[in-house]
Amino acid sequence: MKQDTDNFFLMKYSREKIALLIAGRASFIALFSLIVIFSFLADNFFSLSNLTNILDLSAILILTATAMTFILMLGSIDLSVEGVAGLTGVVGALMVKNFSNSNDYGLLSIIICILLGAIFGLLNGIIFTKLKIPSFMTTLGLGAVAAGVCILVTRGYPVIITDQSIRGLALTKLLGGVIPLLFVIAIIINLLIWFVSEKTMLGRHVIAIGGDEAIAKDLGIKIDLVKIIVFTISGAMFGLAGMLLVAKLGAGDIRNPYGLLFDSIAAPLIGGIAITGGIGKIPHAAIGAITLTILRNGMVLLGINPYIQQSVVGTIIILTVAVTIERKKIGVIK
Amino acid sequence: MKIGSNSMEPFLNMVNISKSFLNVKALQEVNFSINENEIVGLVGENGAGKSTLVKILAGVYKADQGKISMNGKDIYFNNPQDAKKHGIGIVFQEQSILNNMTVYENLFLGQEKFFLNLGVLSKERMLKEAGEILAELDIDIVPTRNANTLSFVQREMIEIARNVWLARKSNAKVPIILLDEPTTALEQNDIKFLFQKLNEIKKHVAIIFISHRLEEIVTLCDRVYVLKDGKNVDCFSKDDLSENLLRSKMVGKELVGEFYQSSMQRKAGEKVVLELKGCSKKHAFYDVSFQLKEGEILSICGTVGSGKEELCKAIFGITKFDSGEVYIDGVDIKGSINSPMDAFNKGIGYLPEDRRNEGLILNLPIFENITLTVLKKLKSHGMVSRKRQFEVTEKMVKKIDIRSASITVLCKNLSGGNQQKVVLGKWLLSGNKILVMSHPTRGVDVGAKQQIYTLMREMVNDEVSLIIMGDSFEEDIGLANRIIIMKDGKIMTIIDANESKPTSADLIKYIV
Repeated sequence: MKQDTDNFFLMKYSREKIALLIAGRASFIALFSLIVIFSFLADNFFSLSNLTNILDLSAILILTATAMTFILMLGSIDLSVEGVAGLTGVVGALMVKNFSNSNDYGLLSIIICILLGAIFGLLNGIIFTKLKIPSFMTTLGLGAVAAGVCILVTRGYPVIITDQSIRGLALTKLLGGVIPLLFVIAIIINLLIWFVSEKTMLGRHVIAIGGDEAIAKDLGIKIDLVKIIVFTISGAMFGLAGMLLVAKLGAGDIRNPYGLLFDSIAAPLIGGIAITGGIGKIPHAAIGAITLTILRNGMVLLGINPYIQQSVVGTIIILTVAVTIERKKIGVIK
Repeated sequence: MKIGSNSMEPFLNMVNISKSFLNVKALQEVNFSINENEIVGLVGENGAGKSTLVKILAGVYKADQGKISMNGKDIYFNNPQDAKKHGIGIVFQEQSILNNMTVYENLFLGQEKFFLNLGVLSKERMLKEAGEILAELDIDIVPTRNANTLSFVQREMIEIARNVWLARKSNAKVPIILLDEPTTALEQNDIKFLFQKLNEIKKHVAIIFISHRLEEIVTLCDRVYVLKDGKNVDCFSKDDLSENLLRSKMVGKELVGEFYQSSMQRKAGEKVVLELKGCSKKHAFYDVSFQLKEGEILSICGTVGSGKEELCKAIFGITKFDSGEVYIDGVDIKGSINSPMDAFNKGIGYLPEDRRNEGLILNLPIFENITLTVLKKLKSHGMVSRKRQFEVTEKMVKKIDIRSASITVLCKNLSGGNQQKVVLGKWLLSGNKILVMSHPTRGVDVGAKQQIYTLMREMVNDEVSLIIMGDSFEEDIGLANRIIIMKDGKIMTIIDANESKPTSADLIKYIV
């Protein structure tokens, strides 16, 4: 380890050095400086109720950002999150007690949502690897398919649920009403995926493929299989996110995950995950998600124009990618 | 030594191996054998069948005919994994070390199954085994080090260690390591280091060594096979080896004249076409001054870190000088050359080392590449005239002997030598009088090398001046009128090679 740090200081001023800094520390620095800044600027920011609120708001984003990070580490991307989460949410909402039919499958619906998400992930993976269609195109297409089916099923109307056990998932707060249950679920899943990425063969192979697919292939790693498994796991997580959104908002609706795609990609990037793959750690997705949530929350508290808020987030993403991307690896930028 | 003349069966024996692709016979009844603790060289021009033979041994291809036996038993491979199980592993030219992982993760990449406890990887065991194999091969690298901090030669050592380890794990008796052009990207002292290591490691393994550089083959190998047109030509043991012998066997005839066409060398003109005065660039080179004369071949020698590459890049405007004066044709151009475009307009051309990525647009045909610099001159009615592009290209292709079915063939389908000729043709057409050439013959086979040398001599006769960084000292010495020797960013000396040629030792004494 010592040699690495030595080498780090010997490295000339370079983009790689900045990238290394960013990946290592900057996400924490950004998070804490944002907390400090908003604490000074907005009176009600650093209050227990607002901090609980931030954890609550960030929970589902942590989940989808974790799934996205797993895929980004491969060097791929999944744009189907909104469509898949929308569809699974509606299917889930129709299975629990609701205003549209007389079903009452309770918590079983969550498993169905996870399976449905996994099926879409599996399809994404198979189409991507076997038909050799770039992942952004495959997932964009399948996401649209899912969204289309979702609107077809609901004819565009929300499916309002009355199931209290499901609502309870999103409304329960632990430790005296401070820590939302959703946040705990999201963090557990984040840590689980972290464990998989660090400590299992699958995880190491994901990093290898993200590093250099051709080399990974030469060394006998089953590229296609790894990709399909990762897309399936992430799809399952999108499915779960869809149902948790329903629990939170009280209805299944294609509009539930609106904006989730952008944030799910933005959060890992803010956390220092390289969009070119192979670099970064899963917990950084959670850090990024919380940072992004605080940024939005603080701007709301300061009363900043919502359109400007969106532009600020957009600018930040371009800046993060600009410093972290490994241009050497992609050669020609298309 | 004749093949198979030993009464004892060699450890690995390939007999009568034949392989065809479509209708091309890549290998015809080739024999090859290697013993434990032996380094066997494999030489031949591009297309002689070296890589086909090696890929058959590594399980990438299946032979159409012939048999492979190890330790007296016949063996068959269906894929590279089978070959690995018999302890045979390739270290490829392109290297297969991942930068985003540590040394120990790289060592066991794809073989993590050996370290699983209930599905969870044991970092402890990985570190332990990594430490053991590195210690056994006397490789002084900490296993937890990040691979992106390793030098090229260290990465090669890690790959060798990976193959030896895997062979052990598969209970192979003797690991066989195939090294495919391992020295292409290495500097002299790294090559020395690699060879010293290979000679040490030899006591554990058998090594098959492929290289274009014959002087390396001669110093390193215990035995050398020469292939030509997919057939065995000869096999020499160490005592009979010489570069000239190998060269003539590879080409199949005694090479006419001396290799570097030294007799064609002309005296440089009086006119100074390019002059640098006190040019510096931080972290690269300092206070560099020299003159380039008309029709001169000026070579710049030095190791990695000597600043020669950076200097050449600055001359072509890829990077900028921090300070110093530059004169072209005696005119002060006021400081730096700002961009490659600027350099081009001032009459300078550049042959990059990485011609596949930087020198050519691989997906365009020959004629588009060759006329790239002169498109303005080929315009009629505001549009580039394809007819004139063809005319100009046909003429150039004939002049410099680019061998291809047609000028509409895509450059990616040409051999290394022909690709380099296309790059040269492009600059010849441009009419630029100063050319900076970074490793003009790298990865080019012997026959084509000589043609490129001849071409360079002809360019010089047309009053073009060349700044070259050769692939070996011999090349620099053979070609140059004068040789600049750089060390740590400074010019140590400038050796005159007009009257009498210096030896490699003369150069090395300034570099080391």
